[in-house]
Amino acid sequence: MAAHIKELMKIMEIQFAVLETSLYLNTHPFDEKVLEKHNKLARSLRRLQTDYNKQFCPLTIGCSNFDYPWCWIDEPWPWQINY
Amino acid sequence: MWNYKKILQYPANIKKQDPEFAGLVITQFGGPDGELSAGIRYLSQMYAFPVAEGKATLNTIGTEELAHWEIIATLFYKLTQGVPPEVLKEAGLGGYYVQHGRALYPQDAAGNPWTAAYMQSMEDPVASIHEDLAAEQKARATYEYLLDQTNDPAIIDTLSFLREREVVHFQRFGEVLDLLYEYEEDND
Amino acid sequence: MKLEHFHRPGPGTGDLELARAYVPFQQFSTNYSPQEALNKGTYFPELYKPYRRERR
Repeated sequence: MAAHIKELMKIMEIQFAVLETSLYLNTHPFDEKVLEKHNKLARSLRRLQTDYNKQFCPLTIGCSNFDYPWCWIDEPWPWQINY
Repeated sequence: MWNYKKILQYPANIKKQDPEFAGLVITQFGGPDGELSAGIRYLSQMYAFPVAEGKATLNTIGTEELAHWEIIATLFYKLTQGVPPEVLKEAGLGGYYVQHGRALYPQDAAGNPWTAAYMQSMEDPVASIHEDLAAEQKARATYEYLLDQTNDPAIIDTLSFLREREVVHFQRFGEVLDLLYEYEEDND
Repeated sequence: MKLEHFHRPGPGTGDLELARAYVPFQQFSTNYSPQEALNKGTYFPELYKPYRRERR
């Protein structure tokens, strides 16, 4: 369990910055500087998630292939992890 | 539509089990100024909202509130996991335990079940946005009251994070209000 | 309460209307690193307003 926590933390950090920039852009749709930051962060996030999905189990359904057997049901779920 | 991502928005930990505090933090799970109220309020107002930036803001913030609802559930789950019934009863969760065990049930800290009476959704967008601004302040104040009730450093980190989110949400709703008045001027 | 308080609003508020609320628009200047942003709860330093806890 401890092995993938470091990777989860990195994803949490980048996904939060993606959220914050997207929330800002919702009321500032013409801000080119923040749009650029958002897109750069979103690229990083996609890369991190692709690696995580391959190495462990996909974080979402629909974005990647699943290996056999179906790991989506595996524990721990996010509320069961000691970070 | 909504999709689920198998990761918390924030790494919510606890240092030590505290069922009494669980009985307090549940107000942010099912109480009047909690995350479920916020999420359902914004996601209800979203549909009829006239301004594009407003729909998007209600959608993004409403969705984020559901992620916060999950974080509060995580705190309650960890604070009560494996705690024996007698200890839960001593901590004031006796009534809760006989009705729900240690499962999550949306209620306030006094045991009142969640109700849509905690929220309003009006076609008048100025009214709705003021409802949202007030909601963010009430949520922020509630987090401060909760922070006053614990010394657990891990819980303090999580509640401080959630509190700061309310400050940012207030700012965004404030910006929507400004855009709304501009829109109403342009359309008179 | 000081007498001066009855002479509001102050300078620069000539074109603000009565009976409505105003929240100024954020104008982006700097951001935290993603790591610090997650720790603090916002990507934007100008929106960071921490709570001073009462000591228990």
